[in-house]
Amino acid sequence: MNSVALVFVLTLLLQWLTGIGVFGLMRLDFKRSVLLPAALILGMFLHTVGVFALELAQVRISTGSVFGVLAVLAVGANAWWPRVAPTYRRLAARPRWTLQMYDVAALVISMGLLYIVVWASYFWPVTPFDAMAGIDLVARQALIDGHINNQIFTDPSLRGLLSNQPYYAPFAMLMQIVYRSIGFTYGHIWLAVQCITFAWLMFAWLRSYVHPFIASVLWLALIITPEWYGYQFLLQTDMANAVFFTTGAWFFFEAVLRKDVRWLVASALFLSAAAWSRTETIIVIAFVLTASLPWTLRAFGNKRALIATASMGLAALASFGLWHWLYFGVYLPVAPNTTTELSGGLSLVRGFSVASEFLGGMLTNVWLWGHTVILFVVGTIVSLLVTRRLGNPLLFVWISCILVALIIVGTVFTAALVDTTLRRGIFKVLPLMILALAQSPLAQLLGDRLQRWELARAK
Amino acid sequence: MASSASFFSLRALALTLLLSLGYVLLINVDLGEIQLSDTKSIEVNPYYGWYENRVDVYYRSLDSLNRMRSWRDRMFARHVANYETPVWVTNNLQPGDTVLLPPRQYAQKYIKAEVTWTDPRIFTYMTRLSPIVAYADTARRGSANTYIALAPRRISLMRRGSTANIDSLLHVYEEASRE
Repeated sequence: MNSVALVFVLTLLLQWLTGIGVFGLMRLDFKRSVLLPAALILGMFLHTVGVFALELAQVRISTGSVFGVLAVLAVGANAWWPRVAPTYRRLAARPRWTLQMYDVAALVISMGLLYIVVWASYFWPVTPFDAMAGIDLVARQALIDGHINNQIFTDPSLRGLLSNQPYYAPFAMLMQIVYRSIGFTYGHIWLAVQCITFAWLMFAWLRSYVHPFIASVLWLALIITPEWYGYQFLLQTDMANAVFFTTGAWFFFEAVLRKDVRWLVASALFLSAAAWSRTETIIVIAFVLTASLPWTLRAFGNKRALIATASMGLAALASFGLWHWLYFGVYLPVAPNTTTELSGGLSLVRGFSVASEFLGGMLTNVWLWGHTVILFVVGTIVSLLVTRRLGNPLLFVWISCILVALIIVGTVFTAALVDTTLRRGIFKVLPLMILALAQSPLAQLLGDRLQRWELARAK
Repeated sequence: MASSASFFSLRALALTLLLSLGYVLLINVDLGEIQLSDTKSIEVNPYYGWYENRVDVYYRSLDSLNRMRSWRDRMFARHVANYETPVWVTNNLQPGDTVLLPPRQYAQKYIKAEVTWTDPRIFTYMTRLSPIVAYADTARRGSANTYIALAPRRISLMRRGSTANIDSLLHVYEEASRE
């Protein structure tokens, strides 16, 4: 094994241990198939926060310091061993075979597709303009200069010409630093790692709600969604953002279902990661938390619900503010001129135009989204007609809030175009649509019938 | 929700075949388009085109692509002139040179792919921080002393003080930037 592969494996392992340690500290009891992928995703987020802390502390960013901070995080997260040990004991329990023949088929199909994701993100250089002009430009120079606050922001050749790309929310840029420092020439292999981990997570979630055959079909529907597939190897902020946001959403729904505040803590962590990975998300988080209040109030009581909601909002705001306020204000010598990107407020005419373009043209574009959105709409209507129930209403609240928030972002910010920013914002909605379909009463009904059909023959 | 059915059963096999067949049909059958209006049509099976353009295209050329071992070759394969031009320019810089990047429209006349290298951020990304001046940077434009002249399949650097007619080139830049 060469040194790059060794450091890569060690990095993944330590990110994993960091995530598992944090979940262990929260004493959340959930399935190993969910814990393992969720821990890696969380570990990736925490690693980037660690690298950012190096920058704030004026420590030179290098392979050693990037790896060192991860080692410290992993040790720190697991330092209270008596508390985290039960989580590891659960992980070490003997696994049970729960896969069916069709699950194996779905996994084989997905492997054929995800192989290209891994290959392309390793083989091809970074191609999206935004990434070359921002995320990766800053990351590459950070490793040369030893700081995120580097010559990209001060060199005369770029002065006044940076636009907003180098100021994007920092997760993807910091991951580029991590993976470039490991020795990957183009860095963005982390995107494939994160996407495969998320696919694993989705697989486990879906199977916990609905018959495994339906779960496999829905899971594949997400993986083969054309635009979703493409952005698993195209470096942008949006896919990572969707991964964090959806994971945070899932923990939130489970918290309300279980009436367990500890799950809200996990949700807060992932939603903070979402705000750390895409700037507009702070607005979406404000929307979803506010709109979810009737459910949180019912689940946790007035006082606890309000405290929990405010804390979650503040955590996301802190993660947003760390970069956009503290770092821009105190550390960087230059900052984006946000006021030039404002369209002049909430114009109804512009809002209507954005909404019609977004909902009428973008969201219904089958070339981009395959039949996933149509499947969601038709599935929901049929479910309502057949069973007169909606399933998990919170999912629909969150989906609606994301869409409304994106339209508002497109209305208020001139740089947030329907064709680009809002298009990629839809990534946040797709997994929730798939989850909503899995939790729909219609899917449950079909699942029960399938189960009976399978068992009837087996007897 | 785990199924308590057996892994090996005829019905499990039937469901497996159904899933696999569904997938095979999705990626192999082109069902054409439905015309919704004079200007709008939708693909009946978008997965056919998606698989062909985003997955199969790589599987078909995986062997030949994997022979491309050098990172620079891959950069060139992906970015073509947007990589090659900045690399050529920086390799041919002399001490004291400050290069004025031409307007995008000028470069676009000679390059098939969409030109991005004239953006100083992309130029820097493809190479390194260099003494360059963006065409849009009117305040620093006067500090440039080296200029990029393009012709079909040719590139050269023109330096102030040489016999080259810089003013004529700048005039062409100016004309192009208005297009």
